[in-house]
Amino acid sequence: MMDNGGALSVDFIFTTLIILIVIGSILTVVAERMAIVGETEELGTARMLAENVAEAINKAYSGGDGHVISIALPPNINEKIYQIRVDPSGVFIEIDGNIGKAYIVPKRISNALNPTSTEVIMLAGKNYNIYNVKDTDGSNRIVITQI
Amino acid sequence: MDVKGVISIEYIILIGFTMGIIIMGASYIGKSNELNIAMSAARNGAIEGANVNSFAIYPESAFDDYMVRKPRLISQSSIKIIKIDYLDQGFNPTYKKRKIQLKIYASAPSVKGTGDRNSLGDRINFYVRKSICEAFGTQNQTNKLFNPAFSDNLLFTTADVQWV
Repeated sequence: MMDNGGALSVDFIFTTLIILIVIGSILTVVAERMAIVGETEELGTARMLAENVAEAINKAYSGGDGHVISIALPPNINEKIYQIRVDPSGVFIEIDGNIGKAYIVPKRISNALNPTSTEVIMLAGKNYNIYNVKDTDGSNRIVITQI
Repeated sequence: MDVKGVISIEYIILIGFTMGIIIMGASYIGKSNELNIAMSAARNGAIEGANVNSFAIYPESAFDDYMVRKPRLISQSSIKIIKIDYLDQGFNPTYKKRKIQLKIYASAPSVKGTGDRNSLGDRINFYVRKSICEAFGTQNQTNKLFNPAFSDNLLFTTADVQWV
């Protein structure tokens, strides 16, 4: 009598086992890679933002007296709050306990509220004007003001 | 006619033999798979470490240290992971696991200083060990430097990064 019932061969069972193991391994690797992509995007965006601010400051400085550049900061990086600090040594970006620095040319930085200050804090999601101002002593200073 | 189910002795022997092969195969595949997963995790970690080094965005304590002692590392670098090798160092009686030493080969042509490269390499190795621990959920079995890193049946250490 012919057997019409379902049957699974040993080959099929063994192949299925191997396929399941391989798929499990691949899923683990893919999940880890996706996490790394997210972290890399965060680092890259933070680095680019610091470099963009530094570039704007350098352009305003090299543009001469009265040169103004506006810059808009994004509200977050990868859903994380960040802060930018500018002082005569450079532009520092702080995010998630990490810090990066971009170098700038000008050695005199201040904000409009306090011309004698040497440090400016730029907040996420705000817009800023970066001015080149000539002081009474003839030297140029970068003034960063929130719009 | 007997309508109840009947299993032949040949069938039972065949099933038993098959199950034995599958169990032995699964055990072998499982052990190989563990090393494969660890190596994949190591590669992920190496890439992550290289990325952190490349973008030069570091944890605050490291950043402050580099500002004073290693200013070159404050700027971005081009860092590439060339390959990852492993060396089976046999059974480790202390941890009662097989010890695997990982060696990462990397390239950073824009960073020449030995001390600078050591710092970059240490960070790559740190992320390699961290990634392995995270892949197997063994973070609580090791120290804060993830050294050594554990999987279920293996323990992993890292040799100094070889710069090529």
